[in-house]
Formats: sequence, C-alpha cells, structure tokens
Amino acid sequence: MRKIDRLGWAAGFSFTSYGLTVGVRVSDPAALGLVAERLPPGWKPSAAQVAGRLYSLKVGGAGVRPGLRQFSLLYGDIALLARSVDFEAVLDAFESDLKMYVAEFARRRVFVHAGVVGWRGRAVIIPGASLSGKTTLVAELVKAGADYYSDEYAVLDARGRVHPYPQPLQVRESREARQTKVPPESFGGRPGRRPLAPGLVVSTSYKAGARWRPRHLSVGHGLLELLSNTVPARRCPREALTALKAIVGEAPVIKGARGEAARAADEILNYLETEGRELGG
Amino acid sequence: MGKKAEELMPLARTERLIVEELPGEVLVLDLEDNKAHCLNPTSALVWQCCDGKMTVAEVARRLSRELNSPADEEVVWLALGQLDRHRLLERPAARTSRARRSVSRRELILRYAPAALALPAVMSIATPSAAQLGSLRPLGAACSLGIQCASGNCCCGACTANPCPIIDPGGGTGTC
Repeated sequence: MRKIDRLGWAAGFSFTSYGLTVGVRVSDPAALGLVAERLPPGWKPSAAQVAGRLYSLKVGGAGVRPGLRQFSLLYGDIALLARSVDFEAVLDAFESDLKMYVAEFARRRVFVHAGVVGWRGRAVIIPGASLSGKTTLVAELVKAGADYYSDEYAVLDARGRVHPYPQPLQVRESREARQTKVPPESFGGRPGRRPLAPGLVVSTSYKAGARWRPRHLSVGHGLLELLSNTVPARRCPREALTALKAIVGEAPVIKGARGEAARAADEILNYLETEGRELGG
Repeated sequence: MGKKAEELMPLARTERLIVEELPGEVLVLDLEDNKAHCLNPTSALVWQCCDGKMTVAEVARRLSRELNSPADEEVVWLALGQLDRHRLLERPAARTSRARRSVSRRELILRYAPAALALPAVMSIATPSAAQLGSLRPLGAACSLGIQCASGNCCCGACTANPCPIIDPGGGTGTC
C-alpha cells in the first residue's frame, strides 16, 4: 500500500452506500466530478476517515515528452484493477468493481443479479447472467408501462421486498460495444420509488426464434434459480436464503427461453393480468 | 432379531450444511462444496431416514405409506446412490448383493409410472462466487481470461476491443 500511497494524491472523498464506507483518491482534482458520476445509486457523502475499500485513481494523459502518453491507473486497495490510456475505460472499470463490491458486502440487503420492474404494485424479477438479455426485456416492459426498478440487481431485504436500484439502463448495442446509459424516461417509463412485494420471478434468456412457453418451477427449483444469481450466496448464505425464501414463498417462478423481447414483455404482462391476478394486483 | 449392517441406512451428513424444509422438497446448501441441492419428496424422505438405525426395507415401506404409492428397496437404493454422489451421506451405503444388481432409472420409471411415484431426484447447482456474477468487465479492466471481458478479448492482462495480435499463426496464441 505504501508504494501506492507515494504516487501523489491530490484530492479524495469518502461516501457510504448500502451501509458500506468507500474512499476514493485521485491524482487530479478535476477527475473527482467524473468519479462522482460513476457512484452507485443512493450514495451519500461521508466524513469517515477509514473506509472498507479504497480506490486510487491516477489520471494519465499527455506525457512530458511529445507523442508519449501516460497510462491511467486504477487500484482497489492494493490490487491494480485497470491500466489504460483511455481514461473512460478506467472509469468504467472503477464503476464495475465498485458495484460488485457493494453488491457482495451490502449490509441488510441481498443483491441478486436480475432486472426488476414494478407492475400494479408488485415486482417482476428477471434473474440472469450478463448478456442474457435482462436489460432488453426490462426496457420493453418499461415501454409497455411497467415501473423501472433496475436492469442489473434486485435489491432484497430480509422480508423479500424488492428495493429500487435506480441507475440508468445500460444498453449494449453488441457484445463488444461499450454500454450506454439510457434513463428509463427515454422509453416513456418512470422509476419506481417504493419497495415492492414480489409478484413474479421470470427466468429467461434470449434464443433466436424461441416461442414463449414458460413452465412453472417448484419452490425448491425456483430457489435454486435465484440462488444461482445471488451475489452473496457464498459469503452470507443464511441471509441470502432468508430473503430468497420470502420471494419464492410469495411469487411464482416461471422459466423458459424467449424470442424477441417486445413479444415476451407482452406475454409476461398478460400472464400477470390473467394467471397472476390473484397475486394481489 | 438383529439387523444386518449392510441392510441399515447410512447416516446423513450434517456438518457444514444448511437445510431448508420447503413444501414437499428439501433444499440443502453445502458450504463445503459450494453447492445447493434440491431434493424431491422421495429423495428428501430417504435422506431424512438416513439415521443408521432403520433398514432399507423399513424405509421402502415408509415411502409407500407416506407417498401413498408402492415403492420397493430399489427406489431406496437409487436415492441413496444419488445422495452419495452429491456427498450428502456420512459414508456410502453398504450394498447387499441384491442392491448391487444394477437397476436402471429407466427400468424404475417404467415400473413406477403407473403408480405415479416420483422417483428420487436431486437437482444441484454450484453456488456462484460474487466475481462469477459480476457484469462482464469493460475495456481496460484487468483480466486473466477473455470470458471475463465484455469484448471477449483479454490481452496482456487488460480487456481490449480486439484480440491480441498473433505472432505465430500456427500457434494461435496472442502476445503483448
């Protein structure tokens, strides 16, 4: 850590997020604003001098000699997380690592890798791995009138209520492309504000030409489906199970491949309107 | 009359497990192997009977009674085999010569389908680490494998837009 301490830090701040304290220091004060734009939803400034995790961001740029560029560097505690001449790429790495840290260590919340929308006062949870098409499906559900809660994490409390994680949707044009942030309002949607009881869990991924014919999972299989996407499943399994049991105890779990997202979104909302009517909507 | 050791049920493992009873199923979290198992009603009942005292025949009778469907010892042995494979038993069940006779699951399905007995089944997943669930890493982020990067390319320890240039086309490995 001492070597990193000697790199020369010009500014810094600390903040809290989901009960965690995080510190950030930068070599150029002008970068602080850019860093602040990458913080997780709901962060609050903190006066704490000690942080659970410290990020150190050395800003690169033009070198002392013409034609020479310096790398921007990002450290998480003592580990080098990113090294690039593209400062935006280093900021992306900061955002990505910070989100993972918060998702794993958050206090009194369980983070499940999932998209979430609200429909008639109930949460529709769409667990899935990266590139399974969560964001696309969430965007279509929002276009169809659902409230936007998250396209990345379902944030659960011990009672199984789903809290908003109001970051802009992160739309990716292709696997290689950098994600662009799109506010839900641009789809005509609005962000949800209050925690919701679970209404439906939809485990699905895109498959070209697939027809939407989901099957109901048993409570146990539904739990496995959620557990396989639960960030602190290994670190605090008891807390994770408590929250997940509350979810599957209240909401049905359906699973199936989907074709185009717009069609699947219609089918999901139809399901909620018909078979899921008794859910309390 | 004493019970023969090879006819006794093995002991169920209890160490480093979290067990959740669900309606009709049992969920077992294995903290040692980082796995989660969902036992269907038949498997769950057999596992609950793994007390080292009951005999396989007694468990078969209990299965028939509680699941309301005829079940014989083959079903119990099938369940024990599955539980053993998933490391949910203290030690493997002793096998009598009769039990060693291999009865395929297919054979049991055909035999028990008319009786609508759910044959023992254990569904398992590996509980993921936080890193496995992280979103794919952006360009410039540190990596050791291409699958960690959104671009699919990891070159010289960082995610890159393009694959590493290949010096030796025959070798096919990228280089910094």
